[in-house]
Amino acid sequence: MVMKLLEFRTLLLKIYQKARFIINPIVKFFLSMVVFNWINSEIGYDQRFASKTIVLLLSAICAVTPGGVLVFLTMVLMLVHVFHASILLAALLFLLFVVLYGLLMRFSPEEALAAVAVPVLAKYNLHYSVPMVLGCTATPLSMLPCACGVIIYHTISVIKTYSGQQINLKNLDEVIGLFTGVVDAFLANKQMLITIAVFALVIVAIFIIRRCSFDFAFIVSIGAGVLVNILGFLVAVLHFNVSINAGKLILMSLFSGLIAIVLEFFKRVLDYTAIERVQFEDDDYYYYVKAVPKVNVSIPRHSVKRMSDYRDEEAEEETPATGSYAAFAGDTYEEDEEEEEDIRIAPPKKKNRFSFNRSDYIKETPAVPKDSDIRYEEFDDSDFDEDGAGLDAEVIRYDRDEDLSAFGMKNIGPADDAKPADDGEYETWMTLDDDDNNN
Amino acid sequence: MLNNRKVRIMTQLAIYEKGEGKKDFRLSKFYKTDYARFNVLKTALMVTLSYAILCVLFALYKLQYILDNVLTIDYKAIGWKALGIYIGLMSFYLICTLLGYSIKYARSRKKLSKYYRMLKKLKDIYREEDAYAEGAAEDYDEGED
Repeated sequence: MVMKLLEFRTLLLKIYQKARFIINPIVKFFLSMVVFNWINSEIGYDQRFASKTIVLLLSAICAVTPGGVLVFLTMVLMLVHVFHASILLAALLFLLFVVLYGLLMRFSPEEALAAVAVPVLAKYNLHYSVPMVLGCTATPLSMLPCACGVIIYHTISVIKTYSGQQINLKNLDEVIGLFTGVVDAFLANKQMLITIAVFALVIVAIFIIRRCSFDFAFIVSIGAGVLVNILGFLVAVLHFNVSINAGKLILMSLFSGLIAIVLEFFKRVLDYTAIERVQFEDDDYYYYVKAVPKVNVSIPRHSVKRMSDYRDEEAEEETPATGSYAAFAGDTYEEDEEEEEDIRIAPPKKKNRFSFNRSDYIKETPAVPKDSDIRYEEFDDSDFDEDGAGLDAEVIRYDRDEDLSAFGMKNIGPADDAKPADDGEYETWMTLDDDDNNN
Repeated sequence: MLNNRKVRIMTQLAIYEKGEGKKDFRLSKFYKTDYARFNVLKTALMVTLSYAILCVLFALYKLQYILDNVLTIDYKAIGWKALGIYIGLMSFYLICTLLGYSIKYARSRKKLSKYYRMLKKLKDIYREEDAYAEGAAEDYDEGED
């Protein structure tokens, strides 16, 4: 089961490596659309900026820019909408963003997306998954953008409450009244502080446990995260008299844990260590290199084991196992080579009927190198002079004498009587005489 | 003829230069103390700005109380309290910044030293190639003689 999953992950990784340059912008585009649509549905006061054209345009920008741009544009769009509803609230929101950036966000810019993810996912009660994923993938410093996300979420709920309140900006009493009301509502929100604290604890708990060296530390860490999340909020309910739906909390915490497990499992797929294309040069060449990272889990190759008894050995040799298997590799079907392993079963030695020694029963013949393992180099006859003295040293460096010895061959350069092949090239692999082999 | 070992090292160097190396090179222009001080300064400015905003918002929030008790408020005590909070906040942030950026600098130097080791390997390969080219040329001359 686990191997199947690992193979599936490998398959996804291969697909991702190939189509990374298309997948990344598309995913970012749709994520951005979700975020901007969420803003428009929550505080879309300015209809001009709530239009689909603007959403598509902003999403297109975010699709080809780093994640920080999405965060910035989200905040700008929020300010624009709130500004349309109330200048005072917009000013307060702007100051809040400056404070959040100055005190929290700027220390962990890599995880700034968490500040957007928390309020967006909170609509579906899936915001519990954000600290769990951050605990799995980031450092405890990620609790800062996570806290920002919680603050932004509760700020929006306060703004929604007070946005309909029209005031005369020239009337100081009205301004102070609105301002005091907003701050009171903000400070009285115990749930915000509790959520920040619980999320920070979840991140720290998962981070500490996942770095331990015991078996299944990763699964245990997420389990601990789920437990901390549930217990933290339940304690808050009991101690601070906060209203939280316990059933929904437990259910969504477990579901968030599941999301964290799945994301952690596929982390390598989402990782940016995909194909690299680099260009460089030396004195002789320009290099355009495509570096493909190695995949850890290889998709198994089908192997054919021929089991034969000594008595049936001859009969087996007359009817060798044939046939080919199509192995699924990446997104293409390839005709895979058979790996044949010859295992001979000898009759057991009658020393002790109760003793069993594997070597008494099975003798494994030494593996014969396959043709594909041997590297053949072909040279043009212009590479060496008549004596073979001008043979390029580079070729000799890469020869694999150990493989060739099995065939009684080694690279001795062109033979005196070497004949040109059909295409006018010489073969350099020469069979040695028995005397040479003995030497 | 292509030297695979050289190409492999050059590829790794190019990937590093293209990716996280950019940040490390920028960082390597600083001494550790200068880098840490520079970031501490930036943090101090941001903390001061943020604290000032919070103070102004707090003053606005308590504006009614301030207007009512404008003559009886102990400004000195409030000032000392605000200063104490500011110093405490600033100290916390500065210590964290100093530690954080020192660790970041040390990590960056570690990666850079690995990069320089690979550069040295590349240099050795070039030296080998030069030596081989010179040797081949001498052999050729001797053969002609």
